[in-house]
Amino acid sequence: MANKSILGLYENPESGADAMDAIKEAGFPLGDFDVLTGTPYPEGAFGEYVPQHRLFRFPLFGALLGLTIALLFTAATQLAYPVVSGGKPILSIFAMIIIMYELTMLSAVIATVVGIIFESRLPNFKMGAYDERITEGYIGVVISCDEDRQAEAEQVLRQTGAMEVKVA
Amino acid sequence: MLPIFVSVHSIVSWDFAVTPSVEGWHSTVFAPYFVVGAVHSGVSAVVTMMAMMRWLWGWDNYIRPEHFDALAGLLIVVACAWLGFTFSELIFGVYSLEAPERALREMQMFEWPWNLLFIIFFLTGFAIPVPLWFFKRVRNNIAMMFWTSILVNVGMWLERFLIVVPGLARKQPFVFTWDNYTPSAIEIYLLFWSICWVSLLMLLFARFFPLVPLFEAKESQAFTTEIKVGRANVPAVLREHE
Repeated sequence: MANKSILGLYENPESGADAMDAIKEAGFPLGDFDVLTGTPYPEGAFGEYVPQHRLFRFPLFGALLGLTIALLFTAATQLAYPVVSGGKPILSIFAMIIIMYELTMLSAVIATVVGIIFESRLPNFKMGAYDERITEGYIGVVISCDEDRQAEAEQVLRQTGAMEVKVA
Repeated sequence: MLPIFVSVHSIVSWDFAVTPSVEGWHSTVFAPYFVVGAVHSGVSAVVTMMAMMRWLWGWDNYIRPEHFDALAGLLIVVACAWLGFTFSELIFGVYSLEAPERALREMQMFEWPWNLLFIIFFLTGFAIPVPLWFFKRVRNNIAMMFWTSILVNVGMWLERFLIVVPGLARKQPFVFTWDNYTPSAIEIYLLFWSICWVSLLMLLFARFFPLVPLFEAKESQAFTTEIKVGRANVPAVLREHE
């Protein structure tokens, strides 16, 4: 069964929120419908499913990875070319701290950026139905469903006052 | 971001400052010096990018002269702080009157070609742009702000060049090991490559992420109003209180 994307366009957030409630009552799974807006709205403004954020795991993982790589990098280079300078130890943690800190922060920041992109569900290669009026301020409610539920989805959107229903 | 910025630039400065064997590097002022220098060159780079984006994509309504005016005010403060730290770095170095440190500073400021680079560094980093920024006509002129920000970035690049190269050229105490540095073709190519790389990354970022959050621009336009205070009409931003 082909997956269809059905978009309902609404004039204001209240009618968009009503549409989301109606779709929930119609029995569509929580992850199969979403709201599209051109500006940020507070979380839960449309009664949408708000999953727990996992963003903190990315900088943590990145920092641990960077620290490990830096430790291995500095230790390996110092052991590979053991130059004795003034009787100082070959493996000097204090000299390694600067490189370790740099790579820790670099990996944490890069991992955070990747995490933000990932948590934003990007890149989105399967762009569903969209209307440019959403960018201008209208509210879009999009349902992803199989072909056999397409008519039901369109009916729910029209009954809740959608200005226009598009299918992609 | 601010703790990351301050800590990262401090740690980078300690790549130099923890080296006791190179004259001109072993100084405790390097951490705040590099942080303020990064703010100085970073904000100037932002001005450069803003002017280029306004010109490239026709964003005259979104990037306006008042934005450049505000940034120039910030740059004056940061540049003055940077000058203070530059002066401190020189004074800390020569305060002890150690012969190697004095020899390095004399080389940096009085010997060819370092004296020319030093003069250019001071002129482009502070002496030309900062007095210009005191004039409102200059602050609101996009072309002037663009070129002064380019001057600042040239000056900051020269600052780092003057930190790294003269110190290493006089690192060893034996005079017969000294030599003068000339950049090779590969090094000039690498410098050009790094500028192109940063430009590419900026353009890629601009391709995939919005640089001007339109909802913020529209929000500020919607909330901007005037309130009457006595007999004066004062521009204000309206906020609803429940």
